[in-house]
This record gives sequence, structure tokens and C-alpha cells, in this order.
Amino acid sequence: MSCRNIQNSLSAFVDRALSRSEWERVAQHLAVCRECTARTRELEDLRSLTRALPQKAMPSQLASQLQVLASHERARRSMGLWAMWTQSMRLMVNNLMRPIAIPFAGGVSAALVLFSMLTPTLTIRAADARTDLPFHWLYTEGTMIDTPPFSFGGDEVEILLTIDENGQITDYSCPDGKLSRQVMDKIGNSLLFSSFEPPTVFGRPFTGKVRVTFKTAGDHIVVRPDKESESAGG
Amino acid sequence: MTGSILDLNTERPAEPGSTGEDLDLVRALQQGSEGAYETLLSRFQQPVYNLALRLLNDTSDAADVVQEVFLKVFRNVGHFRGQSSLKTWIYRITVNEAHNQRRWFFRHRQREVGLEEEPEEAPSMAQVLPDGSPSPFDYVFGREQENLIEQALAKINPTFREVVVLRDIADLSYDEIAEVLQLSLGTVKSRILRGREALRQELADRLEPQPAMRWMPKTAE
Repeated sequence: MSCRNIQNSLSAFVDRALSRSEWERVAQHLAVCRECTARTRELEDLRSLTRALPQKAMPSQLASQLQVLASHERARRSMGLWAMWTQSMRLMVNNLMRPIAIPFAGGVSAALVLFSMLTPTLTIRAADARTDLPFHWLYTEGTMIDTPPFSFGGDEVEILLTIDENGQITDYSCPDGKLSRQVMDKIGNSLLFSSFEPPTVFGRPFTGKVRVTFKTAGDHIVVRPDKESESAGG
Repeated sequence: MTGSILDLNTERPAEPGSTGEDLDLVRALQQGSEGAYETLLSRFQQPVYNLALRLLNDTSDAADVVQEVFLKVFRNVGHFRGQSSLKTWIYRITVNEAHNQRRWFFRHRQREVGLEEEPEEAPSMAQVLPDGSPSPFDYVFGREQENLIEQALAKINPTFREVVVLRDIADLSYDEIAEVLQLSLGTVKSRILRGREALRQELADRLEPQPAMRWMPKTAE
């Protein structure tokens, strides 16, 4: 048996990890080979030195961290599957929401400050007392300010007027649609001398519709908003 | 030839699987017993730390690995079937985590450059308090020897280092090492042999005196 073959088994020989027959084979060789014996001694010394290396003490901080870890894991295990799942979901949602929490809070606060600064500058124009219309915070009906200086000759007629934000009549029509062309022209002439207060929303004038009833008797005109429930005489 | 070399018995047989004690401990862990967690930590935290430290040569990396190992042990103890011993199972996790840590080191921290030198580790009370047993010379000689072995061990190839560490420092049998590293017994034997050879060579290089001055032959001009 060559020294080379034996030297491949020397490490296991030193570790007592050879089978009986292998061990005997190596032992027989070592009894006659000084070089391999010296090599075996070196390996054994090396092994002893390595085994004699002192154990490094674990840092006390690490020991505490392991205790904390163990207690967390024990608590987690005793929670049950549902509680564990809800906790992990809550944690996930928290982690998702955390980055947008500050921008969101900042945005809401800024909006509130801005709104509170702008509120005093908002003005709501009150409805004209002369129109005798009920006061509304959000919406006021259009009213007639001046009636035509002359009477309209004919039967009682109801006309639907469209009034723009400047109080000007932009269109008129007869809801019944039974009037002749001549009568519509006469009504148009009468309306030229009328003036209107436009409807308002939040104090701002806007385009709306007003129903006006022309009566021959007494030469007076009834102005009625485009709602059947609300009407006023002028 | 003295009797100490040849007077050897064959190695104790490796434990084929978990002992009853291991299985009781695992069952108690699965039930969330506080005492079981304490027992597991007191049995394994120091050996696992030592193994990680010898594999990585860095105390903070070793501490990270130990935490990861116990986290995995606590989380996966329900999957432990007792086919191997608890010790080899935990050591296998430790070796794998050390591999991951080393891989991470080579990817990231190798490029880091510290601004200050690492402070020396504070000496323990045992080192500070006077001890009558070894003489100062023996102490210094012993420390020097330990340093040499540690430096040589840190220098050799990690593949060979892990088998030497598992064999000589963690005191595992060849069969247990094969189980931890998922290798054949022949490969384990071969790696231990090559690891020790590399360690011997490294030590020989370090102990060889370096000549202060070399005479180089020079031809006359």
C-alpha cells in the first residue's frame, strides 16, 4: 500500500471514522512508515488545536433579542390562524397607508384653511323687496319690474318668457300654441316696454323662464314663475 | 509510534433520527409552551452562535444569522418530522443562512468602506481579573496560538472551512455532517481531508520565518 493512498485516509483515521478493516490497514502501514506517522501526528495536533479553540461568548444583547423573538413567536402561535391573519392584514394595510397619511392630512388641513379664508368673501345678494317674492338662500325667481304702459287688447293669454342674466327677454312663446301670428306680434310689442329682474342662484343672476298672464280687464299683468306652485301678483 | 495514535476505537455511530427528548421538545414548541422556547434557546443559542461566527468571522453577521435561524426554527417547527435529529436540523438551517449571508456580503457590503477602525472587543471579566493558573507567558503563547488558528481557519476556502468547523468545533460526526450539508459520506471525508490539509498549509506559511534580507546572485558586468 503506497503512502499516497494511506495519507488520503489519515484524516478519517484521526477522527476514528474508518471501518475496522480500513483502520487495521492504516495502522499496519503506520507501524512501518515514519513519514506517514509524522503526518498523522501533525493532523492530530492540528485537530487538537482546532478543538481547543475557545467558544466565543454570545453578546448579551443578542440573548435578549432572542428572548424577545421567542416571546413574540409564542404569542403569535397562541393567537390562532384567524387572529394571525387579521393581524398580518392590519399590518399590511397600515404599511400601505402610512406613506399617504401625511399628504392626505396635509391636503385636508390646507383645504379647510383655504375654505375658512374664502367663506367671508362669499356674498349672497338678497332678493329685491319690491318683487314680493319669498326669500331664498340658494335660488330666487325672475320678477317683472316694469309693466307695459298700455293695455293689451284681447282675451286672457299666458306667455312663457325666457329671461337672460341681464333681465332681457331672449325668447317668448305661447304654451298653448293657439295664438295667431298677429296676436303674438302684439304681445311682442307689449313686452318691449317691460323690464325684468333675472332669477339668481347663490346671488348670481342666471337665465330662467317666467310665465306671464296678460289680462284685458283692468289692464294689469300677472307674472308667474315657471312653477305651478309658486306665483305672485305685481 | 505511541499508543495514542493506534489505540483508537471506531467512531460512535450517528444518531439516526430524533431522540425522544427532541420530539418532546418539538411537541411542546408546537403547543406554544413557554418552557420549551426557553429550553430550545438555552440548548442551542450558544452552539449556533459559535458555528455562525466560525463560518462568517464577523460578530454582527453571526448575530444576524442566529436571529434568522431561530426565527425559522420557531416558524417551521410544525414541519419538523423527526427524521433527523433536532441538532442537525438546526445546524442545517444555520449553514444555509450563513451561505445566504456570505452571498449577500459579496454582493453588497464588500464595497463598503468604514470611516473608522473597528473598535476592539471589550475584554471579558475573566480576561481582566487576575488568574493564577497560567503564567503570563503561557497565556500569551496560548492566545497567539489561538489567533493563528483562527486566522488560518478564516483564510481557507469556505467550502472546506464549513466541514472542518462542523467536525472539530461543532463536534458533529461524519454522518451528521453529511446530513447537515446534504452530501455523501465520501464527499464529507474528502472535504475534511482537504480542509485540514489547507489549514495545515496555511499555518505552515504563517509560521515559516520570513528572511529579512535576501542575497540575490548577480552576474558581473
